[in-house]
Amino acid sequence: MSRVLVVWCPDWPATAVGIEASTPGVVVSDSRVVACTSAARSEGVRRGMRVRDAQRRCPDLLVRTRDPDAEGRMFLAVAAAVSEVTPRVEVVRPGLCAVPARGPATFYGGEEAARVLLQDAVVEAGFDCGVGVADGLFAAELAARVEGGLVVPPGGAAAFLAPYPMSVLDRPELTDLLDRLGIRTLGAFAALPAGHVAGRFGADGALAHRLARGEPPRPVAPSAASADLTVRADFDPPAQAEEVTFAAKRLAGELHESLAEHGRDCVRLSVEIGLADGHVLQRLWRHDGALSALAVAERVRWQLSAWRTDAPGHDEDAVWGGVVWLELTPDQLVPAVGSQDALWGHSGVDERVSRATDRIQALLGHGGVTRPVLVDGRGPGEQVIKVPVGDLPPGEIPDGPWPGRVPAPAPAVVPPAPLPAAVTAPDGAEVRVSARCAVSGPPAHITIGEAPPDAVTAWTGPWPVAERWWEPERARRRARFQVTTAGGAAYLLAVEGGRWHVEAAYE
Amino acid sequence: MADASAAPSLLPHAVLQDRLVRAGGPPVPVLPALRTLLPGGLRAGSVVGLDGSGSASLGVALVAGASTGVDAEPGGGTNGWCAVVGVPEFGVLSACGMGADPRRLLLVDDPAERWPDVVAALVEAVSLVLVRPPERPTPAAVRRLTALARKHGSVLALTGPATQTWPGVRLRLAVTESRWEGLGDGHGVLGGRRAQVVAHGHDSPGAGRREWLWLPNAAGRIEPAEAPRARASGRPVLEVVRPRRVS
Repeated sequence: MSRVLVVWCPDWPATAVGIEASTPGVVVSDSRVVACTSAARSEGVRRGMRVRDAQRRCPDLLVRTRDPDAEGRMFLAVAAAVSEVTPRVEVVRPGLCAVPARGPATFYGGEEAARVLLQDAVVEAGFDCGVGVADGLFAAELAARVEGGLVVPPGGAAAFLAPYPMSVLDRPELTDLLDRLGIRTLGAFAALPAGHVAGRFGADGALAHRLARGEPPRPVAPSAASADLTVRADFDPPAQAEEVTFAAKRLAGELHESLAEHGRDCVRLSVEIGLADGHVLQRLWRHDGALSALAVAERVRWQLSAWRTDAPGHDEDAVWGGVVWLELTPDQLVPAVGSQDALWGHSGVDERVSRATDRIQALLGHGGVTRPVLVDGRGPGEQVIKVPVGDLPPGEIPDGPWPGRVPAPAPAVVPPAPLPAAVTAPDGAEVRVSARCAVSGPPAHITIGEAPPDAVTAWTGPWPVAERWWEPERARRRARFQVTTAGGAAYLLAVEGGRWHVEAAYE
Repeated sequence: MADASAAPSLLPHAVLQDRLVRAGGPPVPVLPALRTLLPGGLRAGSVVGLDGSGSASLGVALVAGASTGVDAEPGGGTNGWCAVVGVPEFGVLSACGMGADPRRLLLVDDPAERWPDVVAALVEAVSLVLVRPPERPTPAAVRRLTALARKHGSVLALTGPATQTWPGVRLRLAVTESRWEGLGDGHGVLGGRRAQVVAHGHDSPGAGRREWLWLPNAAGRIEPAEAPRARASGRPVLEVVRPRRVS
């Protein structure tokens, strides 16, 4: 059983967006709290809470949106600090990295000494952290989360884990079911016979059971075959970050195929990036499921952007010079237990289409080709989000109700930015809408941009919309109108702060 | 087709099917309301021009038609994917209201001068590409894209000023007359538009036809409409209806 040393940074999502631990703050995604600082926690804010509830408990709460890219990028600074003390750092996820404990323990004279040294190194780098040592990653993570961290003696993992509640396994369905069966701690769960657990809860249940007993989730297969599964891409001339990310996506796809042929899953991936100036950036990334091609590409991007922002005291381009090669090596292989893809694939993009979009992304950059995602909203422009092909749609999709939504039919022309317009009454004065939605005069002529004025034949409005009035800096007050003109066109107009805009045209 | 018969036993099914598609291929479907205007849909590999006011709605309608009703006929050239190139103001919501599937839609808002390469890549993959070329496309780009569309059996729908000068446009769709309904003087809600759509061009199934359509109706869909009567009095005309026999 291998000894693992884990460095855990508390409330990493909050640290990554720049909230100090001493100020009460939360990071939200999907209008739920995903992380909060210790100051917020002492006010009663908890993870998973709705933002509204959190704000009720702590009115001067700082609220930030989650930024996974920043999390990945900043955590590489922690990984760098750890690798000053001991090499072979595996980043498990932003906020958590692991090191095999045996080497540093013998070198620094004991596990406790190595633990304290690492903790000091990371704190010196400017990050709060806990460091724990135990048998296996799972127990070591929990040991790191204990106040200040501790060393769980060899063979003591099961006893250390026993009092923890089931929820630490992060399997809500299993936890819920076992709770109703009267099993509330890892110790009680570990006491169940393994065969019965596997029979009742399947492969995933058996895995959780192994964790609860303090055993590694899956025995690492000491496989010599990892060398020939390495995939590599060379770039001539040296490539920039964007191109490298594409190549990473493709390489990861190849890697998955060859892993699938060998019936293996990879739980640790080594990414090596060779730069034009001879530097090699190497990082190990750990993941318990297979990393998807997109996730691999994302990690490569983190690695590259962290390098560029960290390169101390140098001109960005001069040192960097571009990437000459990229190599992905599956580092630890385990037998695949068959996590089946959805029957129709994840993305639903057929092969010809994904080839075409790859080519366009190579031409125009990653954001060059998008897919629309329909969301709820009031205006026609607010109801469509354009997501670059290959990215996941944003998690935070606001939900209704939407008083003041523009009724069907939807306009066929929705300019990306509203066009400025001028609307005048029969007497030639600009039409104004008062705070009480009184219209100063009927719209008679409309001028859009440089075009000659068009006579209004019919109109309706104003439809007032007050959005986010609770948030002064993002609040908007608008009144919408629909007009038809003598030219045969119909427009959706909005007046905001005395200025008229064409939001959309029903051409 | 000649190649296919030369070595029939060697060709896998997929290749045969591919050749079949390129040799003409199934037409790209259109919305039911447009079928009287365009019987049988849009011919595979053709170039369609959309002109004048109302071209945005027609473009949206063609995209919606090509991306619906595909599940019935899998495979082939009509995989139901559509792409919109260089039209950042394309009304996605409107297309979905007409029945388009947003999951099969690709948008390239700003291809700039790379538009021929972008369209060339897309024509190989999707059923219909709606594109607004720049004012004066180069003849080489025009020839290349027309040929690629014919080869891969997908439809190129053009909008914008270059439509007039693009050679080889077999079919042009335009709105000649239209009237929006539902708005009054400070009241009402925009309900729908009755529009007369004309298909002209030579050598096309729908040449010279004209139809009155709701483009769109109050629910955002496209439906056949009756020609508006001259409304002198503003009062509906009373009609004699045949008494219905109750059996």
